[in-house]
Amino acid sequence: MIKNNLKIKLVLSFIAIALSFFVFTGNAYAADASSSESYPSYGLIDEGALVTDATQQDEINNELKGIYDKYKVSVYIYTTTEVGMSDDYDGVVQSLHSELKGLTNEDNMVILFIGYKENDHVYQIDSYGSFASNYISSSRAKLIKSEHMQTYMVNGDFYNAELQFTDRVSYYLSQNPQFDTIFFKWWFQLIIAFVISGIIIAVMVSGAGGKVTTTSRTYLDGSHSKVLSGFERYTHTTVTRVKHESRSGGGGGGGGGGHSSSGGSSF
Amino acid sequence: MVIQYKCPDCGADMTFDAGSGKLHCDSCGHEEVIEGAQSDGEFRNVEPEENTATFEDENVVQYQCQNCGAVVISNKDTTATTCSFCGSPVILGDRLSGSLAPTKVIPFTISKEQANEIFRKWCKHARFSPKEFRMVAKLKEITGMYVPFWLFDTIGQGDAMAEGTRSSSHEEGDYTVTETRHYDVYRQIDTTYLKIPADASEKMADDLMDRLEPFDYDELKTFNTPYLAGYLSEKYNYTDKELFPRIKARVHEYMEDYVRDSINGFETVSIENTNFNISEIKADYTLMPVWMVYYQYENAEYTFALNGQTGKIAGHPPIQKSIVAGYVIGLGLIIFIVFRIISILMGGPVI
Repeated sequence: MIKNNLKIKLVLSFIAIALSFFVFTGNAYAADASSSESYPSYGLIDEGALVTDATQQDEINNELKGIYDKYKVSVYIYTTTEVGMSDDYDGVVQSLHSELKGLTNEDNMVILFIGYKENDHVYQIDSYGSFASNYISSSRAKLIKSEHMQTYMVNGDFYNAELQFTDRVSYYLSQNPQFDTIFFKWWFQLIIAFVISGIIIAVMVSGAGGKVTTTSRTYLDGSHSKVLSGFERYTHTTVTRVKHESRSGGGGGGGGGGHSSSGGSSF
Repeated sequence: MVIQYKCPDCGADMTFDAGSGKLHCDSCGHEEVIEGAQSDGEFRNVEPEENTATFEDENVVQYQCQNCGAVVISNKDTTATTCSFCGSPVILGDRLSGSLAPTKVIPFTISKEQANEIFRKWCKHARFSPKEFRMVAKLKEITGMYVPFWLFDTIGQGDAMAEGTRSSSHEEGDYTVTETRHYDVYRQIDTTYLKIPADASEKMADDLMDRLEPFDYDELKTFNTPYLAGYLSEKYNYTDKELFPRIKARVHEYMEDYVRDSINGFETVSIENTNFNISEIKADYTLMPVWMVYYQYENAEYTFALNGQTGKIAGHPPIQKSIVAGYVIGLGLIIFIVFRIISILMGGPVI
């Protein structure tokens, strides 16, 4: 009986720990589809002519179309040889964004900007709209750049860098960012599983020789015990502020939405 | 003074029977009711002859069996044993009188056979122990023993200061703001704790005896020597005064719990200081029934104690590391799989 009680307690505590990892649930943002009438909903705008091969251009455009068809997210790749890292490219990027926003009716956009001037390049990924900015967050954009595009960019292989970009954008749009936290990583879960298991078994081993099952109430004579007096007095208040994990503003739908940005790198 | 109970019908030795709670004659089946009997009333109370039966040598007194005349093997603490020559139960009455007279006793309700069975079952379920240990091939000995305890009645009075907190949180832009309100909480309490046991035998490990608790005090009887017939028993080594510090520490913890239980409506409560005065009302010298199980396993002897009233077991079985590791790995993998299933069901990535 006592053993069973312990087992039940252990199982309950385990479930409580397990659930605590998963409390932060939320629904995936639904892609907000609205058709564009005049301006293309995606495209490789290769002003800098970094990818000259027509087949390669088609391939990239195909990828962009695939993303748009599947997720209703407009991805634009804009290249220019007008600015490089040493220039004040920020203004150029801003005006590009305003221009694209004015031209298209799409709510969800991801824009890859590549500036290449005198072997000096800069590239930046931005996203607009509640869905796109949530799924292509600045942290994910950073990962796309450092883990996937960087080696190609350094070698001037813009075609492959752009392909990596489309591939990753496509991948991340399918992955709810709420699962980016460490709690959903298999290796982390494995470690936690063994830590919990170790604790449970250690408790069981320590109880293998019998346990103290008496409590403070076992020998209490309730009829001759009481609280004679007592008070509760307020003393002070402490305040803690915890910043939310990168959460983009803007509710779903409508023309608003968040903006996520990662950029300004040069190699 | 040696007390031995003989059957009035056939003259054979009588022993205390855990099943019936009476003195029982194995030879003819005659039973004698103990309740209400005087400790030295209707049974024979044979005074040993001074010159031959008893002598004292360096605190070791020797007693002579009234049955066969052999010297009863005992140590300075023995109060009840059996004659090692004829097997007759012997109770050393002079060590159970005066200041050494127990006030109460809880008689055995679990017989030797039942104790054996309970222990074997317990071993079978000792999941972290080697397989051979669980089979209980060689049980060296099971001995029924009345262990001397003091049952303390105490009064604990005093006051305690604690800090309690309540918190609430709200969103402020990108921040979650948690406001925690702190309170000083004061309690003055007057408590009574009854019959807290502490074993008074120096041979018995305190942690082993503590884990045999709780005993069922409904079965607590006024002490009477026939209860000891057929069992080992020893007198106390420590007086209640000597053991009181142990009890005091225990009551102090109980009182802190009492204070904590009386404080409601807070999310956290931590006791910051206490001023408790704990005093003894009385302590009853009580004999508790314990089956001592000696188990020989791989050249080592393991000692287990089994509560002779409830069957609860305390003792340290051998632990096999490889079995423990197996359990950790097995349970770890199960937990891991559960984590993965929950993740995937929530829509998370498979890998």
